[in-house]
Amino acid sequence: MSFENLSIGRIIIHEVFRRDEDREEKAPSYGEGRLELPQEARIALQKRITEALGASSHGLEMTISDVGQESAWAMGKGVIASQGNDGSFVTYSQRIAAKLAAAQFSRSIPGGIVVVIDGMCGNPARSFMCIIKAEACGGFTKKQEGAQLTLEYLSELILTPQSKLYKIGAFLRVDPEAATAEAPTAGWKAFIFDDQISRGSRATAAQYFYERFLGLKFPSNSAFQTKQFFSLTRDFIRNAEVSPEKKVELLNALSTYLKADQTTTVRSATFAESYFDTPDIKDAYTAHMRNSGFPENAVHKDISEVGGQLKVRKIIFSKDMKFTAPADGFSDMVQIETIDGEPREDGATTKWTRITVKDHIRNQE
Amino acid sequence: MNESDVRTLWEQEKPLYEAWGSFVREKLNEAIAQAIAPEELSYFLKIPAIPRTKALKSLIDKALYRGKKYEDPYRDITDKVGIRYVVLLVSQIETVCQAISREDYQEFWTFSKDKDFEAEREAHPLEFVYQSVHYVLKSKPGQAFNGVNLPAGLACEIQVRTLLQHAHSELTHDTLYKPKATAKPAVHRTVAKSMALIEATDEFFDEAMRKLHTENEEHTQVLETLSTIYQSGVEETPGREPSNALIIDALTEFLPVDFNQQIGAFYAEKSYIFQRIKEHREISHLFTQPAILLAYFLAEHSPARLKAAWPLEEAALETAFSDLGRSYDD
Repeated sequence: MSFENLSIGRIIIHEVFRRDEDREEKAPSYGEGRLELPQEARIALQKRITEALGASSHGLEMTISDVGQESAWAMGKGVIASQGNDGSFVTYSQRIAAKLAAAQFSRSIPGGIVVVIDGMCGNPARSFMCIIKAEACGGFTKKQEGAQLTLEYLSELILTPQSKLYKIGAFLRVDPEAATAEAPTAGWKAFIFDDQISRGSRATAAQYFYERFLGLKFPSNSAFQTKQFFSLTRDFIRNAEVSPEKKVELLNALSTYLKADQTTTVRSATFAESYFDTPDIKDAYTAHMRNSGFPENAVHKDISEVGGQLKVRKIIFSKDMKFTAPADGFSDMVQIETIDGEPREDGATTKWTRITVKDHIRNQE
Repeated sequence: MNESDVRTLWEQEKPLYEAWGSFVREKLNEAIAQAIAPEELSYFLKIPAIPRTKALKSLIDKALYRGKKYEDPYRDITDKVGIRYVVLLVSQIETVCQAISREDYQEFWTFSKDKDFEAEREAHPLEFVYQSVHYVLKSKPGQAFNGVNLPAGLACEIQVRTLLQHAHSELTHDTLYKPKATAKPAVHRTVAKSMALIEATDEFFDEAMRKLHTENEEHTQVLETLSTIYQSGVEETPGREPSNALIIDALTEFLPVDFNQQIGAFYAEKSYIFQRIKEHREISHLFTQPAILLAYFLAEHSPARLKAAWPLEEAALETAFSDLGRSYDD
C-alpha cells in the first residue's frame, strides 16, 4: 500500500492568485524558506494526505504524460533529488507554484496556498513529494478573554477537513532503478485527489489542475478496471448470504452506480458504504475485492467495456426459465418477491418467486 | 520474676526486638513483592505491615497477671514484637506463608506455626472461634539490622489474616476470645455466628475471583500477547490501564481464530508502526496502552467493523488509519 508509514520531511508554502480582470497572470507570492511545524500539526497534515490519497480513499492513480523539462513531474523529481540541499528544494517549489499560476488560465479559478512537501512513505519506505493547492475559507475559534468566552473569526483557514477546498497531486518514486532513457517515468507513480473529479459533473473544470498543471492523464486501463469492478461485485452479490430480494436490490444498485450515478469514479468502499447494511458484510465485500486484486482506491469510471452487461438484467430460474428486462428503470417497472410455495410430496417446504410487471402483455413468441 | 525484672529486661532488649521486627518485615515484604509482581505491594496488603513492640504495661500484664502458667514468663511470650499481614482473599494468605518458609530465608530464622487456622478448623469444625494464621519467627545467630547486632532466639510473631477476619478480630479483640469462662454463652453464639459468616464470605470472595479469572482468561491472553509485542517492538513498558480491557472487550469478537499467528505476522511485516507509536506516545495516552496494537491490526483486516465497534474517541483511530496509509472517512 503506497501511502502507509508516511513521514513528512520538508514543507514550504507559496501563494498563487486569481487572474486579473484583464486575464493577466498575477505573480505568485513566494515563500523563501522551509516551515517548521510542531508534531501535532505534522500529524494533521499527514492525515490530510492519507485521507485524500491512501487506501480506500477518493484519490486516483494517474499516468504521467508530460515529462519534459518544464513538466510538474520533472520539478517533482528535482524536489526529491534535492535531499540535503534546501536551496534547491526552495527553488523547485517556487517553479512549481509558478507553473500552477500559469495553468490557472480562467478567471473562475480561485487562488490559494500552494504547499510543497517531500518525505517518505510505504513499507519499505520510498521517496515521495506532493503539491497541495488549498483554498481558504472562514471559520471561528473560541477565545477566553478573562472570564468571557468569545468567538474569534479567522477569515483564511486552510486545510480544514473540508475536502472540496483542496487538491493534491503526488509523485512517488517507487523504484529508483527502473527509470531508463526511453522510459524516464518507469518506477514512478502519480496520484491525484480532486473533489471535482470524484464528484463528477465538473470533471472538465478540474482539467487545469491534473492536466495543464500536473501533466497527468487518466490511466488507459480504466475501462478494463471498471469492467472488473462490475464482475467482481456482481459475483460477490450473487454468492452473498442475503435474501433473493436483497440480491435483486443490490444488482439494481450496481447498475445504478455504474450507469446513472453522476460520479466519475468507481470505488469499492463507496459502493459498500452506500448499499450494504451491516459492517460485517461491508468488510466481507471490501476483503473480497482486495483479495481479487482490485485496487482499494478510486478508479476512473469508464463503462465502455461493460455497457452491454449493464443494459439488460436477467433473472434465471431452473428448467431454463428466464426473465429479462432492460436495466434502465428495472426497479420501477418490475417487482420481485419471494413467497412460500406449496409443500412438496415429501412435506419439504418450497420457495417461489412472484414477478409483477407493471404493464400488460404486448407480444408473445 | 517480678515487675521490675520484666521492666529492666524490656528496657534493655526493646531496641533489639524492634530491629528484629524491622529485619523480618523488610525480608518478608521483599519476598511478597517479588511473588505478586507486577501487582503493587501497597495494594496487596490492605493494612501496611508495621512491626509493633508490645507496650510495657501489656507485657507485664500478660507475663504476670493473666493466670497463664509460663515457665519463664518473659521469654515465653512470643509476641513482644509482632507484624500483622492483612490481605483481601484467603488464597492470598498462602503468598505470605510462602514468603516465611522461603528456602533462602531459613538462614535468617526458624519458624513455627502457632495457631494454624486450618488445623483449628479441622480439629473443632463446629467452633468458629478466633481465626488467623500465626507464625513465630526466631532469629538465628549472626543477623544484624542497621548496625544493630541481633542475638539468636529473638521471637517475632507474624499474624496473617483476611480483611474480613481482621474486622471481626478488631470487634472481639481481647475481651471475648481469651477468657472462655467469663463470656456469656449468648455472646459466644453471636460471635460464632458472625465468624461463620465471615468465613463463608471469604470463601465466596475467593470463588468470585476464580470465576472472574477464568472468564477473563481469553481477554487476559489477548492482553498478554499484545503486551509482549508492545514491549519488544516499542521497547517501553506497556501500560496496564482499564482502557485496555474496554478496547479488548469491544473488539474481541472480530479477532480471527489464529489471532496470535496473524498478529505476529502483521507486526513482523509492518514494523514501522512501532516507531509511530513511540512518537504518538508523547501526545496521546492511548498509544501507551498495548490495546492500540489491536486498532492497527483490525484497521487492516476489518476496517468497517472496527470503526463501528471502537469504544473510545475517534482521534486515536484516525491516527492509526493514517499511519497505515488508509483513509478513514467516507
